[in-house]
This record gives sequence, C-alpha cells and structure tokens, in this order.
Amino acid sequence: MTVVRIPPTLRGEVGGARQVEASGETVRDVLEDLVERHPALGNQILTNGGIAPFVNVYLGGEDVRTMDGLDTTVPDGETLILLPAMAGGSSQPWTPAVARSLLDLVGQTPLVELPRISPKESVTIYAKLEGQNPTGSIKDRVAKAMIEAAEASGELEPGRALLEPTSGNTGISLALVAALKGYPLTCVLPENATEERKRLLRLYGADIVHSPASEGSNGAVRLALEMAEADPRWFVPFQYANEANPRAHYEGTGAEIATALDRVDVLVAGLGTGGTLMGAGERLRETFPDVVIAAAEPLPGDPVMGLRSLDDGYVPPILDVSRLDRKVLVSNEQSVAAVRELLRLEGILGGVSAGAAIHVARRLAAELDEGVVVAILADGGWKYLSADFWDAPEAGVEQSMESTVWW
Amino acid sequence: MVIPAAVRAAIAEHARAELPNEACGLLLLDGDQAVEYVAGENASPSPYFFELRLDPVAWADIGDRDLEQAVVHSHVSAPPRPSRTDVERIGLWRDRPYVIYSVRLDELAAWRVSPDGYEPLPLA
Repeated sequence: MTVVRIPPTLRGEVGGARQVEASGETVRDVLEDLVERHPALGNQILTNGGIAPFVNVYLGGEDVRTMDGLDTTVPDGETLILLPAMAGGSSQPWTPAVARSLLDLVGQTPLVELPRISPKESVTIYAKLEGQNPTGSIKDRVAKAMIEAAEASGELEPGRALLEPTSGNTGISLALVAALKGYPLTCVLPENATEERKRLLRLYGADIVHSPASEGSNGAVRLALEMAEADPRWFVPFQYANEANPRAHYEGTGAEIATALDRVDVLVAGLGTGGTLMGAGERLRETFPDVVIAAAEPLPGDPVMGLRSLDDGYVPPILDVSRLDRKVLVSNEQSVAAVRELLRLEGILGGVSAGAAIHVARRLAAELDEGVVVAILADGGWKYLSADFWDAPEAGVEQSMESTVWW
Repeated sequence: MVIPAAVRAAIAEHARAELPNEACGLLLLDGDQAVEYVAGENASPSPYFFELRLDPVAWADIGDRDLEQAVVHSHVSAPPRPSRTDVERIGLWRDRPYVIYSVRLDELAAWRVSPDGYEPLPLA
C-alpha cells in the first residue's frame, strides 16, 4: 500500500481526507488505483494518459516528471505527495501612459494582419512591426538587454566604454542605450558603410572607427576584438555571442506573440545573429509545440541587407541551426520585390530584410491549407531611402545594391 | 481578507529581493485573517512569469494545518490585477483567494480567479 497525501484543493473529492491509500508498482498504477477508489478525482489527476497539467506528483520529495514520469517505480511504504501546480505572471511588461525613459518603450510592438499579402483567405499572415521601437528597429531590444545584463552581472560599470562592430541598427540602438545610461560608445564599421548610417550613428553620439572595406563586416569584428584585447577599458557587448540577445527575444518578442495570438503555425524571421529565431522560436514552441520556425536566409554571394548567409563561413555562437525547422533562401531581388509590394498593398514601409521575411512568409503560407503565419519585420524602410531600389525597374534592383555594405 | 502590516511587509520584501523577476509564495489564512507568508521559489525565473516551487514535504505539511492557502505572486511593473496568463493557469486554485503584489506601485490586491475571469476580494 502507498500513502497518498492529498492537498486541501482536492480533499473535497476524497471525502475530506488528508491522506488516502492506493496500491500499485508504478506511479501510474497507484494513481489509476487512486482514481478508481475516488472517481471524483478523475481527470484532475490523470488526463490523456499523462499527469494532469495542474497537478504535481512527488515521490521521496522529487517531482516524478523529473524521474521516469508515470513509469517511476513506487517502493513499498513510500509516500506519494500530490500538490496543486501554480504558474502565472504578468506575462508581459506593462507600459504606463507616460514613460519615464525611452528605454521603457522598447518592445510591445504591434502585430498587424496582412490580408492583401496572404496568398489565401484561410491563412492569416501577421507582421510584427519592430520598426516601431524607439530607434526604429528590433535591435533596441537586444541593445537594452545586453547592457542591462552586463550591468546586473557587474561586468559593466561606470567608467567603462562600449565598443561594438556594427554599421547598422545594433549600433544605433546601442548608441541610444549608451547615451541614456552615460557610457561612451565606439562603433567599428567597414569604410564603405553608407554615409547615411555613419551620420545617424554620429548624431546619436557614437564615435566611429573604420575597418578596411575589403574585409567586410568580418573585418570590423576582427578590429573591434583586437582593440578590446589591447585596452581593458572597452566592453564589447558582441551581439553574435551574447546570450542576452536571444533572451531578449524569448522574454520579449516571443512572449508578446504568444500572449497576443491563440494560434501560430509558422514563425518567420530573417537570419542575422540568430537571436530572434532562437529566442522567439523557443518561446513560441513552449506555447505552440508544433510551430515551424523558419529562417529567411540570403542566397550565398547575394547579400540581403541585414541578413547573413551561413555559407559565408561565420556561424554566430548563439545560433543553433538544429533549432531551425526551415531555412528558406531568398534573393535580393525577391526581398526588394516583396518590400515594395508590402508598401503598395499594405502601406508598410519596411526595410529590405522585412521584404525577405515577407517573401518567405508568403511562400510558407501557400504551403498551408489553413493557419497563422507570423513574420517579424526587423525595421522600417526609412534608413534605406538613399537606395535606388525603391523605384528602380525590377531588373535594375541587383546592380543598385551590390557595392555598398548596409548593415 | 485581512493582511496585517508585518505579513504585507514580508511579501513586499520578498518581491523586491527577487527583482528583476517575479516572486511567489503562499499566504496562510485563518478564516479571513492572514497569519503567515511562506516565500517560495520561482522555478521559471522571469520578469513576466512565475512557477511556484516549495519543498513538497513542507508544503504537504502546511496542507495538514487547518489553514486556507492563497497563492501570492508579484508583478514587477504591471498593476496587481490577474493577467490573462494568471487566469489561464489558475487550475486547481480556482475560486480560492489569490494575491498579487505590484512592486512598482507598492500595491497589494486580492482576487478570486476562475477560468472565466476574476473578481476582487476586499482587503483590510
């Protein structure tokens, strides 16, 4: 016989007893016997052949889910403890009507339906408009999370200076966070980054160090790491290897989508550092176990601004490719066509990587009979206005984007 | 429900100690009178989520005292109202007293929560 201790929340079902007896060799046998003796317990204890979601079962002080689950052997004379599980939480940051700091307005971006982009009525495509963050891109989440994590761990203290290899959105986001928190910031970027980008970074208060144009973004990474090695005053957040990056998307981007929607079949995001796909993907999998996490990846040798081809040789340490369900290659031309269409059909001025995500979202939506596809649009198109592709004839798009590093 | 100042202070102190994450625990009630706060561990540490964990034997022993139990958790910045997650996850705690403390507002509120919604419990 096994003694089963009953919590007050379930005592009504066992005639008020604090503990009852049941027999069996495994946890399953004991619980099935228990339900047979006290049918009112029914599916509050066991559902669909498993332990019911709101009950925890302990044997020898340990949760049986961490042992062999229902197959755990129950030694004779051992006591089984049932306890009511409790989970909850505010589930999302709450935004007051008046913010004390721009940093409080990072995240909580809107989701909007794209009925004219969706290839069929039975599939709904939603866009998450990350361009509505304070500096206009998803990187505000990452910059804030990396700096606050480093402050919390004591790694970043007043007197240190920030250094990051980036010519793009991460630099602008870091510049905002650094300015509000009082750290100087230096960005290392390839010489051929657009004047528009350099100007924005300077306006936000960042200093700029150039790396050779011929070495591309990998050259900027190399130079930044060399500088940090030579002078310990530098703190390099380094978004490609910083765990706070995917965590920002787990706790923010992904949690916001999971709270807002009752169903998600496919999540599409551009492949850059991998932070969005890893973090938001993991969070969505918890709520929607069958969700397909799809990366929009540029064709090798055909760079899409803001995205990274894994074939270029660098796999960011935070990216675990095995956690991606789909990788869909997308060309520059397709991305640009999609971003123009997004503006024409839905009135959304997106960046080029948003076009890549929309292209992939539409393709995967076409494969579904019905369902919900969420595309994360990393930024708006405002920072790309000097590019020719907005009004170039379709065939001229390629040439207009080749010679410049954007991101 | 009556929550004396000392118990209220224990809840607030635990919630602040767990920042930036949500804190959780059990409030023990004798009738409508709160007599003790048992701090729990947040098994899913996050600013937006909690999962209450207590030593199972100690918790079962608490269940054998003739006291009502109420789950307590903190919201870091949101007001002390049940969120959609709180309502969805109420499970076996439905229709029992449920207490939320907002750290930002330094406000405590009590509720009765069911899967269909919640209603306030007057606090004194």
